[in-house]
Amino acid sequence: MDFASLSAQLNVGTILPEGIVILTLLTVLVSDLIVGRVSARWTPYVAIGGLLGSVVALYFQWDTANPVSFLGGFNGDDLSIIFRGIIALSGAVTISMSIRYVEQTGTSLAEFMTILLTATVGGMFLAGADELVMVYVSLETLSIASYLLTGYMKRDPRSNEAALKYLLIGASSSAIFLYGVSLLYGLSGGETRLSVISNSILAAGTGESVGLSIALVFVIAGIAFKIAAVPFHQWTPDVYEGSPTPVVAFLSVGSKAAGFALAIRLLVTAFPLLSNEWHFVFTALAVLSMILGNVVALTQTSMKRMLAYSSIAQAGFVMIGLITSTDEGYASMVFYLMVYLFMNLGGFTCVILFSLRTGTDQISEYSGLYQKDPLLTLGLSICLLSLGGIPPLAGFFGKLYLFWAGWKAGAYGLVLLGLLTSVISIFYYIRVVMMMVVKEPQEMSQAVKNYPPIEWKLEGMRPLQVGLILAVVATSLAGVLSNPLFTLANDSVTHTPMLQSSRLTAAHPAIEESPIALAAEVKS
Amino acid sequence: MEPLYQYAWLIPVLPLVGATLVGLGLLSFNQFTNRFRSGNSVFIVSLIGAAMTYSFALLWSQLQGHAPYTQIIEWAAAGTFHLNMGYTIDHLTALMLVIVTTVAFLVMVYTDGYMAHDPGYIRFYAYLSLFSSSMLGLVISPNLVQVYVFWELVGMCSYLLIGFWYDRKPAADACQKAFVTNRVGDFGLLLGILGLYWATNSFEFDVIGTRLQDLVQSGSISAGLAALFAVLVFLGPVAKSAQFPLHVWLPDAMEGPTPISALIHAATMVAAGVFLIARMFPVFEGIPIAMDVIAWTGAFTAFLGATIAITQNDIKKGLAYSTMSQLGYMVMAMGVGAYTAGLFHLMTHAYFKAMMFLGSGSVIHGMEDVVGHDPAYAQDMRLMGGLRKYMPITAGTFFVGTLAISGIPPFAGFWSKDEILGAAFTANPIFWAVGWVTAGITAFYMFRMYFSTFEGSFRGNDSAVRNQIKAEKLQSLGLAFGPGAMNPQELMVASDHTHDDHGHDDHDHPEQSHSHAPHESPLTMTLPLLVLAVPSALIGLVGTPFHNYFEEFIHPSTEVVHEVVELGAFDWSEFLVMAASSVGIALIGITLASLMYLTRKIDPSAIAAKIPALYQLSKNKWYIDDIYNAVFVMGSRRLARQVLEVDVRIVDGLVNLAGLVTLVTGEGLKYLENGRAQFYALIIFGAVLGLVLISGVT
Repeated sequence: MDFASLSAQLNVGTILPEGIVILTLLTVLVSDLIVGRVSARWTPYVAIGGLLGSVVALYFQWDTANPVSFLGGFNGDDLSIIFRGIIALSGAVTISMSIRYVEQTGTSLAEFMTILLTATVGGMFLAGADELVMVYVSLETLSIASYLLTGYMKRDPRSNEAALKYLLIGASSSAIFLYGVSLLYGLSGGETRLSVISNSILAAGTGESVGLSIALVFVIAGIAFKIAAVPFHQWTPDVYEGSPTPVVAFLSVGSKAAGFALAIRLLVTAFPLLSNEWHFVFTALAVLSMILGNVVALTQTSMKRMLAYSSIAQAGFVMIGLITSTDEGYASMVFYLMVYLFMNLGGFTCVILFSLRTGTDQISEYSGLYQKDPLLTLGLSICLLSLGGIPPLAGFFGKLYLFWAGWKAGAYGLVLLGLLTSVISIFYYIRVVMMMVVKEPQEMSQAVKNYPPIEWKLEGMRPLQVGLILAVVATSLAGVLSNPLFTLANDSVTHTPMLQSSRLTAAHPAIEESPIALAAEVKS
Repeated sequence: MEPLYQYAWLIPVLPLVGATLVGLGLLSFNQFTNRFRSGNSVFIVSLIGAAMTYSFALLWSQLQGHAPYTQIIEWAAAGTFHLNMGYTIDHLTALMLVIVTTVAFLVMVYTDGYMAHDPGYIRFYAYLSLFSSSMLGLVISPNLVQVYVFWELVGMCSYLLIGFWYDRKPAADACQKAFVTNRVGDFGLLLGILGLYWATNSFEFDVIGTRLQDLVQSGSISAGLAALFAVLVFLGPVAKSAQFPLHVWLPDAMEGPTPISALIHAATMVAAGVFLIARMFPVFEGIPIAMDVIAWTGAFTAFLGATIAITQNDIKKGLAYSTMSQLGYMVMAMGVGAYTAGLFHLMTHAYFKAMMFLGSGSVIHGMEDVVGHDPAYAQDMRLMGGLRKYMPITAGTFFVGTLAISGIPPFAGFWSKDEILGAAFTANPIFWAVGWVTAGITAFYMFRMYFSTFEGSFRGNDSAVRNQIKAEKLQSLGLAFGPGAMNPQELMVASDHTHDDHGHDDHDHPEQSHSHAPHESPLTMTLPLLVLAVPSALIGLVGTPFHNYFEEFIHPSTEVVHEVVELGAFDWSEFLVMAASSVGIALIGITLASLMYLTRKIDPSAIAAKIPALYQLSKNKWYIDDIYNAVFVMGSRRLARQVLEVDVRIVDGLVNLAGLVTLVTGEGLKYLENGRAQFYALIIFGAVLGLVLISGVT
């Protein structure tokens, strides 16, 4: 068998986007080894170009006739394409904001980008992985790269501490996940492909066993760790506090999107039998995440930590879409994640810019910033207001769609809780905006008083500026001109066979009962 | 011809581009942008000029009989709900585009001279451009939703521009007043739009009209409900076009710079209400109650505005009340079904009123050199007089405008007003009578304004008059309550502050530069006046009753069945009677005015002293502002105080409770977030175990 026919049989073309990223990764690594640190002048643009090229490649794979490749190990359907696109884009934006940041800390940029690209590849594979081993391997690729990124500032003890904690807790959750997966493997009689597992379990008659629900909970624990859902969020404050800010941005968008992709695929294809149970568990996670994320974010004094908790809460909102399990629910999830990509990364870019210029990220230090840097104030205000869901920004339409889908599917309790907690969230987002805008000149903070003159010429500032402006423009326009994104999200769901078939089987009865019951429990 | 129409969206987009670029420039590179004053203004003016040329091309194509063109894109869709955006170009649109772009263009040229010394010169251009863009967007809107979007945008621009000199307290108060008053109307409009959508499932004008008719006929919707929706929609125009009872904002809006008064508060935005009625005509037409409400509102407003305008001393306020009165005419015309006549008057009025406002701006500009940069002095007609000698171009063009608005043939106003009066007579003689009397009053107050401004001797250096004005000013400051001030003491401080500083740009014009005689304005200001004088004098000729080109053009595009003016053969005798009667009363008004203010044969103050009640009624604007102040402002303050009580007692308690809960939670969570990795792992295992147990049980 020659190479061509082998690759045709394995349908290698579907992982072309990942291939491009890997190639980019190697280019960055090798040129750093050969040319040395001088290469840092152009390798970031190679990396960004490679990631964007991978997005283009994804675009050409839209609606491909035969998405299943590697003998069922990888599924390049439209849903995975959307998620892979989100992950690749978040990687690109993260690189654009990290160039100056990493330069300023005096560490090597090429290694940072290599690890980040590895994490991106892991996330992209995870979004399409359709087989247990594949899932695990790509999950670990993403996780291990994330541990390394977290500890990248080797001279900073906080970064070291964060990395160690992340590694230990990650390892234990990974172990739990692996245990759940192995149970699944055993119960299905030795199947590893997600699409056949549920049928095998049904055939083996082990569908009612306690083992399956243990497997479910263990698997969910692994996923919840990735998306930082309460109570599996413990690592986030420490890790977000200690790691470099661009890493936090990537963890809160790219890594989370990968987690959600895994959640949809794994739960919908492998656990249709336990659909009641997983809906219930996710409702609990969503409720806890929304409440805890928003309430704790209120009391934060550091911008980074506030965004960390707010991203926990945002994940709670996104889970509403997962729980409704309708076409609209999934589409609203995808839509929200697309919007979230821009607004959250835009916000982080602003935070990085501010800390680059002043060296602090305390919320109180932002007061009076409008007088000194209108562009940064405008960008951060738009991103934060969008995160809070103020019309007509993109976040409002995203939330509207999520809540509407949830309401339509009968998850009234969850939607009401979502609305209530968004009101809380508006408070802490607007507090920052007010701090920046309405303060009188004499109330200006020390950091703002000593604000350096605005300078974009420094190495690495241009990409940061471009990334910021793109994110802000997308955040302000994606809501009003939402139709293309909206259609994209809808198509990605309706063109994905896995979601279409599952919807017809067991998903429906679950949504009617569990959210309401749980909402009642929470209130009492 | 198709490409011409395919790119028609450029018309509103061009000024938007200008506003965005200049606005962004101001935001990010303030000093840099401010250095290029003329560069920015030339850029914006040329963009609107391009839009104007394009509009003329469209009008030409429509005149050649091109079919209406509509371009729609889907903006949002959810299930069966579709929201479309796009633009439509038909005869009405083409006409409005030309009116808006020409006036906007001329006003922008004029602004260069008027605002030359203002530090906010570029910001003003950016706002102007944004407004033009919104107004053009409103005009080409194909459905109610888009109309509403742009409706709010023009409202916002108007707010920004009235409060352009936001450091002057009256301007800041006026823009708030305009905003709040318009909010009342816009809320009605929104309710009306939603109601009509609920009933007919459509946002398109024609579709709503036909479906509503069907629904009413088939009995699925009561006629009362349909009328309610129509009246709610009409509330929008009531606020925007300053009709009674929501007219109170328009006179105060004159605190804005004069080019704004000409563009927004005379020619375009206030006419948007009339335009909306014209667009909604297919809906209103089938609902007699709504038509009656419209007609009565218009007639009453026309009369109210005219009677108040008689006693105004501020030249811009006088013009503002006159605008209100003329808008009343247009609305009345719509109400009696004279669709074309109303639009015709809209067009003629846009030109001559814009010209007169610009003329008044030119006068103020000239007066400021003599009396200083205080609007209370520079705009007061008691300090003017004899200005024709000093500013001949301004006086000449203003005179043309005065003749036009008074309805003297062959000036523009005569033809349009006469058409409205003719239509009103056919519909209901009462409307005719009101319009006729109002026409007389109009001629009187306009000539009073003209004579006291441009004729006689110059009184600008008369210290007695100045002292009188100063006394009035202080008195009004003591009595006036700003909408924003909750605390009377705060108010006193604010008012003290206000009459300490004189005007917005004193530092640009030091006191010693004051001269004793006003001067003619620069060419950039007089040229627009001269240009506008041409349509003010002649545009009426396209709508003469013996050959009404205007009606032929406007009428077919809307498929409105109205037979009021469409009588086939033209009746000379009827026309002569109507024309003679309206010219007659205008002449009476002019004669009275000249006797009182030109030759001073009759002493106006003696008449005022004889009928003090009527004089005070007019002078105090029928006490409407005071009534609103007592009922709404005071009422809402009382309500606010009660709400404050509730807020302090209950809401604050809840907030404190929430704060306490958060604090306790935070303290509790501190023990969970203790930074020890083994403890975190314990929580994870505990949570897993708990979830297994719970999901196992359920």
